[in-house]
Amino acid sequence: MSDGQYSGVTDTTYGSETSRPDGEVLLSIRNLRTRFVTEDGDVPAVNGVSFEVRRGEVLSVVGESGSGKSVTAMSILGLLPSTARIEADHMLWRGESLLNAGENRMRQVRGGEIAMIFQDPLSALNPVHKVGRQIAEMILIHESVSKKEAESRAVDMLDLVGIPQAASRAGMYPHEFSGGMRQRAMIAMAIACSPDLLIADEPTTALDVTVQAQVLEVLLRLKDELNSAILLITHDLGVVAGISDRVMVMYAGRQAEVGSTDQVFYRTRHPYTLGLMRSLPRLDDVGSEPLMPITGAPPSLLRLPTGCAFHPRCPLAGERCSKDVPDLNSGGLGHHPSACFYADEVSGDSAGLAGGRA
Amino acid sequence: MTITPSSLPSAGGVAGPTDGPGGPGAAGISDVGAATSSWREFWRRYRKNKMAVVALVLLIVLIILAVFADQIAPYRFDERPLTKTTAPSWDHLFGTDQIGRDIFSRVIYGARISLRIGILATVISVVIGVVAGAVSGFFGGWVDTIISRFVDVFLSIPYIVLAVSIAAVMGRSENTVIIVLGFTGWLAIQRVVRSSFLQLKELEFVEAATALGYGRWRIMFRHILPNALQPVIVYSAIAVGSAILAEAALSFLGAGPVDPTPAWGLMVFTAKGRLKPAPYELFFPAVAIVITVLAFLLIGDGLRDALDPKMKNRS
Repeated sequence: MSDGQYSGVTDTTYGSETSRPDGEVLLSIRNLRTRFVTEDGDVPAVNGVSFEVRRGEVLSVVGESGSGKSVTAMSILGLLPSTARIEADHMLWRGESLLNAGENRMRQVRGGEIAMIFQDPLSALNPVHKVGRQIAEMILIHESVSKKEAESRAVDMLDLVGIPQAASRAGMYPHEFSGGMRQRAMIAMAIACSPDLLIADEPTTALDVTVQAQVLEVLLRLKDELNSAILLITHDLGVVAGISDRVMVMYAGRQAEVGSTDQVFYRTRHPYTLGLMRSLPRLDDVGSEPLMPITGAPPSLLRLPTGCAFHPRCPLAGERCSKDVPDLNSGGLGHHPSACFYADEVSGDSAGLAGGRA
Repeated sequence: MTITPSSLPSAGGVAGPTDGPGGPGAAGISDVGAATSSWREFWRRYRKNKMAVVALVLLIVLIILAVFADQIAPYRFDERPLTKTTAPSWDHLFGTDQIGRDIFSRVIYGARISLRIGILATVISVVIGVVAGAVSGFFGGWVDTIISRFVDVFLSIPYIVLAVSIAAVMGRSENTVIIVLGFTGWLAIQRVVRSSFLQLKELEFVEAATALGYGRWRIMFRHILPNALQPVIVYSAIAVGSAILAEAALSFLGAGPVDPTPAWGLMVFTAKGRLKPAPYELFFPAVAIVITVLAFLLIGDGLRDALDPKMKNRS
């Protein structure tokens, strides 16, 4: 059942091999700005984010809590509370704008074309309905099939995600499942209608490490079987390195760095990415170097620092950083995009943790 | 009962009947096929409350009496085998009332009326209360404001006053009592359901249901409502008892059913002036009220024990 494909930070080959830069553009977002209207003023949770997701790829969105990664995903599906204001130059789903899609169309998209997997499968499954019935309901809503057919497909789905004795498991309630099985059931539900894009919001955070690997393997296998794409939201760099093709690092609602997994891990061009990686323990490098946490705390979105939001915590920060806001072009041309004026000074192989300014 | 540290880190979920002391997944992977049917599980837990089981037996007896009153009762409720009151005897187990009707028969027919009033009034209350509570809790905003203020206003009018006024307009009858109790009883249920919805709609499975493309009404009634029903079920059992008690109170105040109707409350009311010469006229219907109301309260108790999520994983 278990696999050797996922073994932590250093295993980046798996991701880069499966890169498919020529796949169909499924999702294209240009200059997404999502803010929340509160009594204390507008909170710019996402501030000018642009990216594309192509068929067949795994795009990881990485960042601390409050960096805007979940809000980005929620903005796509229109799942935010009514206090949210979503604006963008465009937000296209297979060429169709989602920004002014009606509620009925959005309901088709949700679950049918873009499905979401949540962090905590226990609270994301309804405690009072049997697992098989929950999956069948999903199929019944999006497709015109008979109840019987939906139920037998639900069992197939459970089987597909690797739940043993799927037929009898389908008749059980979520609380009778173990943590890993719940997440698999959640995945089974999400893929029941063969969506083109799976948004996985920290799908493994609530699971223990051995189960994490299995769940990720299931996700990757299904992505290939369905020929879909995955938008993976996580703060776990180990997971990112293990399965993603491309990585987008976010900080305080903006993109810090975007590139292939290899580029971001081995030729890091943003001090924040470097900081994230240095604060991560490495299993294969015991004792040689102490962990280096990023000093300070993420800024309040209500009172963002002037200039680059990261500059108060940044070891490379210069005079310019507190005045001008860098964008993805600020790192200079000829490299993968980085929103840092001193991108060239971020030393290369951060996955090897050699870097720093020195 | 203390919370052991080992039970804390696992507490990932909040959603209803889930985490027991054993933490998530305690149900184990090994017991495939051991999924006990939820009804059997429910009965297993209900059975532990002995008083509730006794109450359930009592209720079944009452239902049988009510349904087969024509066959069981020796006389019709308005039949007058004698012309005056007599003390209990082998011919008339509970005695006869002022105009010679057999009290035993009338108490049996009374079960029919009390259960009908109690159950129908509760059904009306639950249907209105659940829909109103679900709508105001789920949608919030001005819808909630209107419904909740309406409830506040009606809760501040004593239902007795309301009942007497409605009875004055509609005339005194069993159905008036049912309508009065039904249309006042839903107010409390609206509050219970509303607060459950306010809490439940923030949970992740509701968000997940939205993310899966489910419509609002489906989320409301198929996904949130079943999670909010437990307190309603418990409350309903108790509400049937209260409705029966309320019928007695209304009859006592002269706002209930009128004479030949063998309503227990009415029988107590008519007997109250002759407590000294004929205490049995008051005693037997009063005991019937007490037993019936008590039975419903105890059943409510048993339901709560059986449905309480905290008891879920107890063996």
